[in-house]
Amino acid sequence: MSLPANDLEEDEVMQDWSSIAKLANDSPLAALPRRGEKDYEPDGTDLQELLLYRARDAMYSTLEQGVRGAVVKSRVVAYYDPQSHSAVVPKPRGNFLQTMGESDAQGALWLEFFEFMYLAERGTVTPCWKRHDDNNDGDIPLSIEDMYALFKDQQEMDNFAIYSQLKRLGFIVQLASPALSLYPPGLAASSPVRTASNALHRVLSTVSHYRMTLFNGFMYNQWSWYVRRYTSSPQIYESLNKLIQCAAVPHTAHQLYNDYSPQDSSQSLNITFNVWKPNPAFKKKLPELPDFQVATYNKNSTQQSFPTYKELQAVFRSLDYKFSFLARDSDTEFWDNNTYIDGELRSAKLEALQSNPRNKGKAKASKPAPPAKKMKGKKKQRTVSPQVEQMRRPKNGYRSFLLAVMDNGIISFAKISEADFGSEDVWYKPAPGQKNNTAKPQRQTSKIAA
Amino acid sequence: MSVCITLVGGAGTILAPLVFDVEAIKKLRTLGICGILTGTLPSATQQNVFLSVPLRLMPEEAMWLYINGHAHFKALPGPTATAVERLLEEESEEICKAAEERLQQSFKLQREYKLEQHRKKLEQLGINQPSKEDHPDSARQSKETKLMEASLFIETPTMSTILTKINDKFGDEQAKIDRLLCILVAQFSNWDNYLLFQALKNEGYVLSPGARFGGKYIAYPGDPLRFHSHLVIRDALHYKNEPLDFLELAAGARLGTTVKKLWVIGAPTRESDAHDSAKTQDNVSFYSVEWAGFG
Repeated sequence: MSLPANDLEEDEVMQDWSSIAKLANDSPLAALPRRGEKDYEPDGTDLQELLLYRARDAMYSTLEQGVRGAVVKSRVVAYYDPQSHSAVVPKPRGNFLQTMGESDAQGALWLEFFEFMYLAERGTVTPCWKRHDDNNDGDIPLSIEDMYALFKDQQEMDNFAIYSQLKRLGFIVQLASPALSLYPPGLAASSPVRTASNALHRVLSTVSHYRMTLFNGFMYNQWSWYVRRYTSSPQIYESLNKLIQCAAVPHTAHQLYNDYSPQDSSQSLNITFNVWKPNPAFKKKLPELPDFQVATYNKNSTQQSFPTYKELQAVFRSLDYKFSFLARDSDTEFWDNNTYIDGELRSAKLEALQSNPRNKGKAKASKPAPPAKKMKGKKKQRTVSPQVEQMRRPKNGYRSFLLAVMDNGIISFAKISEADFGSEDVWYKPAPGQKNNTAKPQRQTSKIAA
Repeated sequence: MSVCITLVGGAGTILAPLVFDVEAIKKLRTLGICGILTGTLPSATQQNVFLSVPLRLMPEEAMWLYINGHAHFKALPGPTATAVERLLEEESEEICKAAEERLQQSFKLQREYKLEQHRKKLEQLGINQPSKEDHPDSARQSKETKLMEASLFIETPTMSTILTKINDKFGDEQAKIDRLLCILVAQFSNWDNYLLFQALKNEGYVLSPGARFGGKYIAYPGDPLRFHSHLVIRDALHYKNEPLDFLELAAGARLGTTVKKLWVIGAPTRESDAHDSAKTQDNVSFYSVEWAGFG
């Protein structure tokens, strides 16, 4: 496709351009081949040959028609900077500004390399090489092949593929960053006191586990039958429950605070991307906490192995997103008061933005607060029976993340979550008017938020 | 036609083999090598079902193509950015000029095409093309030209003109390529798996990555565009010495049967030098397992 144009016959080129026009005018999806029925195996008939020929032909023509680029008028040029391995857009323009890149003081937009790749591949920006000697003009345009050659390692290439996959689905994706956090800055900072107390807490919590089992070992011997008297069947289950050791999974903000430890690069598995559901009101500078977090893993690389339990635990401890068990997604007040951006509360930052006279009109217009508040009314929430909710909890788990598995170009997403079977009283029927199990976590978190 | 596979080097590593040319992709498909298309399709950017170049190959596919003489490699020593910088220091003027020429050439063709289209449209509408000497129309014409200039298309080419020069400088010595391939296989797989791949490929199967079905590969009886796959192949297992976990057997066979595939275990039968056995074919044996659901 990228042969020098003078090597091609003229009508060949012309045909190409007309098909571009056709794609632009018609609905683009209408020109794509559809996935049809498949056969079991080749049987040597002409019919099958014909069908295969058609399927391939549709595929090839789509590939050939898919020319990347932009017209002169709406062209946005991005320059690759080899020093920082990122790209700069001197005159940024387009929808992507809303969710991608970072502006500098001169009004230029800096893109991460994978963002640059993604935009170039879909034809939104024209990739060029940034030349440091300014004495000669003329850009050096880059091809897609050139850009792929600029990947530093396989992990970067895989991360880009996963990023593109998510972007094509419409999600907002950014690199995971400690600047955006549920946890107050004091907690995230690795002050020795804090880490020590964290460690102490962890040791204590494991001891309390063991204490419980030691206690059980003592209580649960044959003599206990002579000592204990069971007057109802729940009592039997309750004492049985004590016999089984189980890990304590954080359910509340307080427990999350205690269990949190920020990720460090020495971990073999790390959260790579923060992912938000598509949201037209997304603020690049003041994002909400992400809806999902994604870790990436190349199944075939011999330098990586499937994460062990310990590695998974480290990832769980570092998770930092909109935990759905703390508050509803729509409870903006709670989340704004529990989101720290560069160490400052999001609510405070939003307020500062609003009180700034320059932004007054803008901020007011974009504030969707009232409907959100209405949603907060607890009675208006869609209620599910406690039994159903209980069935859902072990399935959904509490903290969770997505593991994107790369298999030679095919990406699969697996959701990995901490299920808590231990604290579910499956036999227990709450007395009427006493829904202790479902209401408990919510009540505690709202206290912390206040 | 020998297909060109791009191998990008990183810091002591090789990145996954890629193919950028659509003609090459066609050729590979007739050979039963399908790879996975991974790039965003510019004409439909909001979906993941139909993707575009580059085609990412399994290392085994690249190896098989190379060993059977269907492909050659464009190897780039990493990091590429510094190599490009070095090249630009010497030849930036030249490259710039070539790029500019290409752009102007494409503009010229587009202008001709657009004017032709414009003329045809006017003819259809029955309006006579105003001759250029007509004075009052010249203002409108210059406006039209301006509009047309703004609507010219600038293509981001798929294939590189710069990298070829770097590749030429890097040289194409056999020993170097062989070493790169060894690194590639060691990094993403092993020779036993390659032997499985080769044996199945030579049986006429088309193979693709199999993690979605819990295996190393899945095998199709023909082009995956038209046929369902029949086999899920596990990583090579020397079953004479190595144990097979029963739970894995049950899980693999049950999953395979549920999706109407056989679960396959295979291994090279003789321990031999990797390079020798890569050329011979009759030294791999397979077992297939099916969940009978009897009784």
